[in-house]
Amino acid sequence: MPGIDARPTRVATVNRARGWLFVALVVIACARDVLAGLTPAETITVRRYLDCIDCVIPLDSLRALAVRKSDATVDSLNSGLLHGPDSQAVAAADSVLKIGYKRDSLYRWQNNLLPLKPETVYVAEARDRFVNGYRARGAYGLGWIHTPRAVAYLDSAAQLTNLPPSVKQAVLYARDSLPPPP
Amino acid sequence: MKKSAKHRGFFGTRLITSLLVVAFAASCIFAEATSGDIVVAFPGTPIADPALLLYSGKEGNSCVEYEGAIADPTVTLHNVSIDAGCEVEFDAFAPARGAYAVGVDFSNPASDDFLEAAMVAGSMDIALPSLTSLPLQIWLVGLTSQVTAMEEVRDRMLNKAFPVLSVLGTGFTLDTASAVLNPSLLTPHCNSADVISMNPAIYDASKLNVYFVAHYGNIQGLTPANNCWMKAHPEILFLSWQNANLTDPTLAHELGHALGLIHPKSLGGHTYAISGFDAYNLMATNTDVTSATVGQLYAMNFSSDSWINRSGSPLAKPVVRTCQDTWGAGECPALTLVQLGWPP
Repeated sequence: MPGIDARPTRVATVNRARGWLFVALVVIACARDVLAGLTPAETITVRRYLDCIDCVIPLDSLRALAVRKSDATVDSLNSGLLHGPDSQAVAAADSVLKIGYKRDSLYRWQNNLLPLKPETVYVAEARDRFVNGYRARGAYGLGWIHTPRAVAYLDSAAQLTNLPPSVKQAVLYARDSLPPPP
Repeated sequence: MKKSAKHRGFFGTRLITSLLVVAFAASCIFAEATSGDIVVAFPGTPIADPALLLYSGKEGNSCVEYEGAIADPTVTLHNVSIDAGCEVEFDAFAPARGAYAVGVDFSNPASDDFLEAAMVAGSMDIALPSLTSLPLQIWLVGLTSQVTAMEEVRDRMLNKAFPVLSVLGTGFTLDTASAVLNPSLLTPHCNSADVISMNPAIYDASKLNVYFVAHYGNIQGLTPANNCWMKAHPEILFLSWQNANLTDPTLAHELGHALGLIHPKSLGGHTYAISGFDAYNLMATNTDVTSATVGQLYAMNFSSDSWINRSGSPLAKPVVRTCQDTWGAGECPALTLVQLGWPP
């Protein structure tokens, strides 16, 4: 950058590590397929909902998509319900959760706060919330759309014996209580 | 002879006066034209947590806008001069420090004194303020028997928000107070934001109001959280504490909305799958937050959309701008603006 002394290499190692992390994330992002029957933009609409924090607007977009492409939307939500985020996304989440754990632990130590749970427990719990939240939103999305195909998927999922409790609860609620009466 | 001498005296006085006027004018002109290097230091900022400087102004023959540099431990600006055609602003951020900004208002001749002094001295100190403390009124909306469960979720959110806000250099920390509310007193939906904001028993107008409700809208799974900025109440935040999968960065994310991260409005400032933002950006992730762009830090502190800069706010910053409703550059730096190697 002309005119300003560039900062030398004190943070070069960190930058390199971040660079590799970024490259890895790009590769992961590119490797994630477009969902069957949906365009890339429509795939993002579904994934934006499955990964949402503020879900009201993403849910509206999802329901609008389902009006146009009901089966493809429902199929992709069912895939999210049954399988959760892909293994690469979960591995990347693990990595970032460990980075966050170290940062938060240092912050707590510097501010004389009690330590966090052991790293393995902390990461496992956070990973479960990430994965199960994604799966639960798959169920809730099916419940809001509530076509016969969507309900059939929820009926099928309700029979599964290996669903985590929060996902099972989401399946039953989505099938029996969504959409709520106006 | 006498008359001639008198005339000589008169003309001599006029000549001297004219020369003085010319000299004074020239000194003003030369002062305007003065340029020089400025070494900017950041006293009180440790080497391990260096400051990021954004400089806008004249440098060499061109105007620069929001030109970034990381202190090591100083930043040298080369060939700086003052030109009314170049907007002048110095912004600085650092982990665990408050954000700093100073600008020049060319309609106020005194407002560039600091810059002239810096050009004469060849140096300038920027002392970053302490963190801006955001007052949070946390409302635990549930029955007495549910308090322990609500507090557990609240603490998990706060345990993430504090380090994220500090380490990423946002300039903010939190000052929290909690109270328990019976669910019958509140409709947990942004459609009720106006009603909520008129009831001092369930709302504090001087604070950000964070409502931990069982389920937003009383509908399970509708959303883990929501900020009511679209109802003109960015100071009202809802988090669904009975959502077993409420992820740790949720409170920090909603505070981002309260602090003006709502652009472009078509996406509510969400950066998921947006080019220029990584997957673990404050406004994208529900795993953990490892980044906020420089553009986002700027908007949180200096945007007129940020709650701290609302009319009459005691926390308002000395520089407040109306940021553009795009990802790209405009009145404020582009939200995609990043500085390689920062935050440290």
